Amino acid sequence: MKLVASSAIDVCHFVDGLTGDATGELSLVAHGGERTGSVFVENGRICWAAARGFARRLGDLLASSAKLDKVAMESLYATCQRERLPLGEHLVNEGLVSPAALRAALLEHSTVSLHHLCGHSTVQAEWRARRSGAYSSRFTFSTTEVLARTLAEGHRPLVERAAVELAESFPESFPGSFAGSSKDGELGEYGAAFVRSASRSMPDPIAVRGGHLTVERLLRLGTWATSALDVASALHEHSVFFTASVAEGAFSAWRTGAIVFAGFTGARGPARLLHRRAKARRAESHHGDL
Amino acid sequence: MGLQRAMADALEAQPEVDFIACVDLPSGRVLAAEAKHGRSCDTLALLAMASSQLCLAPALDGPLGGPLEGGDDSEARLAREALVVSSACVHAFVVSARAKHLAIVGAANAQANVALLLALLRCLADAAYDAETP
Repeated sequence: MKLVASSAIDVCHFVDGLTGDATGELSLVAHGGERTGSVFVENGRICWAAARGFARRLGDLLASSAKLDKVAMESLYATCQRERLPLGEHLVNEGLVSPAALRAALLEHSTVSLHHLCGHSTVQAEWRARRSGAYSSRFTFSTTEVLARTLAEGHRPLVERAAVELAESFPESFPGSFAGSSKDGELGEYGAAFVRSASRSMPDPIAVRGGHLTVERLLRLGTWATSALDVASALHEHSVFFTASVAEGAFSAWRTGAIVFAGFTGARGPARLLHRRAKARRAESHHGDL
Repeated sequence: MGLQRAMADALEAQPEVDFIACVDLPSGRVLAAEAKHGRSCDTLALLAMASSQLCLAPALDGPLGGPLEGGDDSEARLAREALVVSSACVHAFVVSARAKHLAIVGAANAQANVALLLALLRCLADAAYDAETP
C-alpha cells in the first residue's frame, strides 16, 4: 500500500484506515527517492516515529530520564540490539525509567520526528506489514494523540492552557450518561482543543481527551465547532458557549482566546460545562479585582 | 389553538423571553413571530437566517465525502436542539420532531431558566407542526 502524504494528518489518517491488528512500518520517502524516516505501527496504534538525523534524540531523552551516562547507555543499547529488545521497555523493566516517562519520551520524539518528516514538503510513503509482538500496547499511541501533539508543535504557547482547560472540562472520572447505542454514545465523553491554521481550511487539533476518536472524526468536530462559533459570534457581542443536542447526547463548543474547545457529552454535559465556564470567569474577574 | 396565539401566550407567561419565532430552516424565512414591545426585529431576522447553520451537529459516523482538507454540510446532521449562551442573552432553537424543516427560535435574557425556555419551545414546535398540518 502506498500513500502520498502532504501532512501528518495524511499519515495518521492512513494508519486509521489500517485494520485493528495491523502491524508494520510506514516508510517515508522524499521527492528525490531518499528515505527520510518511518512510522512504526503495532495493532493499529502508533509505537513511535523516527526521522533521519533524529536517531540519537530518543536515546538522549531516555538517557536523561534514566539518569544514565553515555557509556552506560551505549552498553544497554548494545544489549538490546543483541537480544532484540525494545530499548525503552527494557529500561522500564530494569526500573531505570518509569512507564509514564517512557510514554512521554516516545510521544515527544515521535511528534517532533513526524513534524519534521511531514512539515516541509509532500512525501511518499509505503506500508510494509511485519510480525507483531515487539512492543507493549501500553507504550503505543492513538493516531489522534500523535496528530494533536504533532500539530501542537506549531502552536506551542497555547498548548499548556489548552491541555489544562480540556482536562478540567472533560475529567476522566466523570461518567457520561448516554442514551442509545450509537458510536457516539459508545465512545463516551471526549473533547479536543483546536487552533485556526494558517495553511489549512480546517483548524489544527492541539490536544485531545477521552474516547477513541479517529483523525477524521476529530477534524470534523473541529470544523463544526469553528464554523458554528463563527455564526454564533456574529449574533452576540460577548463570547458565546454553543451546544447542539442529538439523540445520543450533546456537542458543545466554546472559545478561550485563540483556542476553540469542542466535545461530546451526555445530555447533562452542557450544563456542567457552562457551570465550569461561569466559575472560571468569576474566578478570573475576582483575580482581576485583587 | 393557533401557533400565533400559542406564541403570544408563551411570551406573556415568560418575562425573561424577548421574542419567539417559527422559522423555515431551508430558507431561513420567519413563518410566524411574536416579540415583546420595543424589541429589535433585526436580531430576529438574523437569528432566523443563522438557524439552518446553528441547528447542525457534526456527522461523525458517515464515510468521508472528500479530501480531509474539505468539509461541507454533508459532514453535518440536523440537531434536535441548539443553544447559544452569552453573558447577555440566550438564543435557543428547537427543531420540530415531526416537521424537521421547522424550528422554533427563542431569545431570552441571560437570567432566563434555560430548561424552561427549551420546554416552552418544544411545546411550540408541536404546535407549529399542528398548524402546518391540515
